[in-house]
Amino acid sequence: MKSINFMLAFFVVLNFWSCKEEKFQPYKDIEEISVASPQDTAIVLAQLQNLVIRPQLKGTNPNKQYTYQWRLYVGESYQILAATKDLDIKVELAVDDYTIQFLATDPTTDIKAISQLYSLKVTGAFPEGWLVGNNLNGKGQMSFIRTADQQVFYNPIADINGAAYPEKLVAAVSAVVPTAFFGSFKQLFYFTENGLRVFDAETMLQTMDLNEYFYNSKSFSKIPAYGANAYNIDQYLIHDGEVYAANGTDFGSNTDFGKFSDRFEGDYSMFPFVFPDAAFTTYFYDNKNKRFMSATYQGRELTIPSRQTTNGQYNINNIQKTMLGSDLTLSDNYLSLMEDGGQAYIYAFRLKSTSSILGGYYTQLSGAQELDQFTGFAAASDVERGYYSSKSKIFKVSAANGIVTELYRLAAGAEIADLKMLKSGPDANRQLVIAVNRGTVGEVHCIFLNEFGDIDSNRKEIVYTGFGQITNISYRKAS
Amino acid sequence: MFFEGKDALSIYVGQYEADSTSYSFASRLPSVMRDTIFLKVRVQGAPTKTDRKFQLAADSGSTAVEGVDYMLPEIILPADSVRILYPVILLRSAQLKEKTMLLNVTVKASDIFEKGAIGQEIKKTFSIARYKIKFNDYLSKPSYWDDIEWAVGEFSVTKLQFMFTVYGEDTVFGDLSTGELLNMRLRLRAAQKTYEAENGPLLDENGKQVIF
Repeated sequence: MKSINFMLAFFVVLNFWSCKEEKFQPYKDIEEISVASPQDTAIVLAQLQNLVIRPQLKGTNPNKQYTYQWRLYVGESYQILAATKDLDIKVELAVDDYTIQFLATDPTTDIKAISQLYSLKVTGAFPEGWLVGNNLNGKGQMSFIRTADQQVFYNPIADINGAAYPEKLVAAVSAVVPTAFFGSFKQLFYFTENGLRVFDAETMLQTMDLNEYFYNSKSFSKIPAYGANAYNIDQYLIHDGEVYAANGTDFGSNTDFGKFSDRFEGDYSMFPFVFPDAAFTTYFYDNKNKRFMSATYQGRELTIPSRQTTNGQYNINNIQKTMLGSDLTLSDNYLSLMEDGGQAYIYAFRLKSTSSILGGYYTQLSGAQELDQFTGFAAASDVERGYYSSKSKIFKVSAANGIVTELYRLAAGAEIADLKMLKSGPDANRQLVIAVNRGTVGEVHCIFLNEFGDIDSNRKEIVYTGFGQITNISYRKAS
Repeated sequence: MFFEGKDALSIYVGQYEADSTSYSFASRLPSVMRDTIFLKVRVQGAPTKTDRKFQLAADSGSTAVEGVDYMLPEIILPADSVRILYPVILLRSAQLKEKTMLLNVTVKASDIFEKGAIGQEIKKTFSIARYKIKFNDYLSKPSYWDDIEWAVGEFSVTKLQFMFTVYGEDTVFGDLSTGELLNMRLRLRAAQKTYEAENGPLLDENGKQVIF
């Protein structure tokens, strides 16, 4: 009994001491901080744009001073971009893919809040946008509208190359053709009366001098068309009705494209548009004989393909209409504005594959006006709908029923030089881009369209000014 | 007990390389009086710490005359080396205008090296007994013609001469890039059209019209 009492007293004392220990509390909660935002981890910026990230932290103590670090990882090492909470730097990195991370440190505890990894893709300063060919005071310029931030570079090739380009410009054409697996062309073509100059699309540095891309000197007088076949095996150029070809990327392994060939032999006058299918054939439309011709990959000769549509409306070897304009449309097929004897037609040329040609059709247009003043043609790629421009008006054309309606009219004193449809980004197929000249002064108007292809009255037209007389506009795709 | 004896030397080629070549001075500018063909030579044995001299020699069946049509210099295989490119110097002699010379090149046995064994060795290379060089100073069907026939058609001397007028006398058509080869037919046909507009049909040595 004595020993039981002793044990009881022992546990009571132990329990009391234990309670006392709990009240002592030798530790306390550590303030935990974390990076709440941003959550977007993929950032794409052009060189010399500003990289701005303003992170939001959770769990910070307003009475404490934290230290910050922005790390740029290159391989296994990193460099410090900034030691401030907000990152706001001009991107002066080489074109490449990078990883960035943000760290906030509580100096009293050395506890760090570490952000998720942000991927940063640095592109050239001219990653995507409109080339605007124009002549200012008789000298050519290849201006560039960077669509990402609507910044305009008026004469970047002169600024970057430190050179004067005194020739009169005939056309500035993007020869940027990206492919995922077969190599990409990244060229900008500057066609002048004295020949062709080539510039690198990423840097705008000149890569070829006048006529270096041809065996003989060549003078350009009309706006040429450029295109490549599906796997970038060949490049094609159409100028003044003649077809030329140069070597391509050879499934990604080749960067020496050699020179453009002599003209393809034959009795033809090609409309300036290149129609590649999804494989190895490229079509051209011969406005002299009013039919398609084709070339196979690495072939340097033209043949006359024969394929009849299921509805019996046409065989591509015998269209018998004059092509006025063409553009890419739904499912990588083509929509073309055609004319014969004063009557206009919209043709769906489904050239994507040999079998799809069968589904082609045409519709006679009703209400088509001012075709004698034709200046440009553009098509949507999400629906078979086209637009053509006269000197001062833009008309909408439905391929389904051939109905033509006036969409847009310029104020007096201005003339349309070119018409294109924006085909990438959130406004793809919802923005018509119009090159306008007021005498020797050029402007680029971007008008927004609704889902029905009419003008979206809720969105204000964007107008870029300050150009010389515009020759053409051409979209430089992202590469 | 170790084997002691002379190292061996052999001419060798890669798995897909020919054991012979054709060469014509006719495609070179008139000022070119000699040219060099390099042969791959290797030691069958270990490298040494001293330089070793060696020489190749004309083998039986050769019609070319040393000092007149060719030179086979004595050269040095540097210390610690077992492979070297040997220069066979072809001379543009007058008789090359008249006939094609044959030079069979083989290893010259010496106090240092004996002739190596022939056959397949490491990495699919083949030691060969001799390398055959046919050369002249008039146009003959070059060894690369089979590689470009799809673009230019059947060989004729006149055709080849015309090709040199378009591309330059120093052009080795077998070495043209893919881009050039793809364009070649169109380029030659365009040049021929211009030529024939001024001079009439371009006929070959057999009286046939040249067709590209």
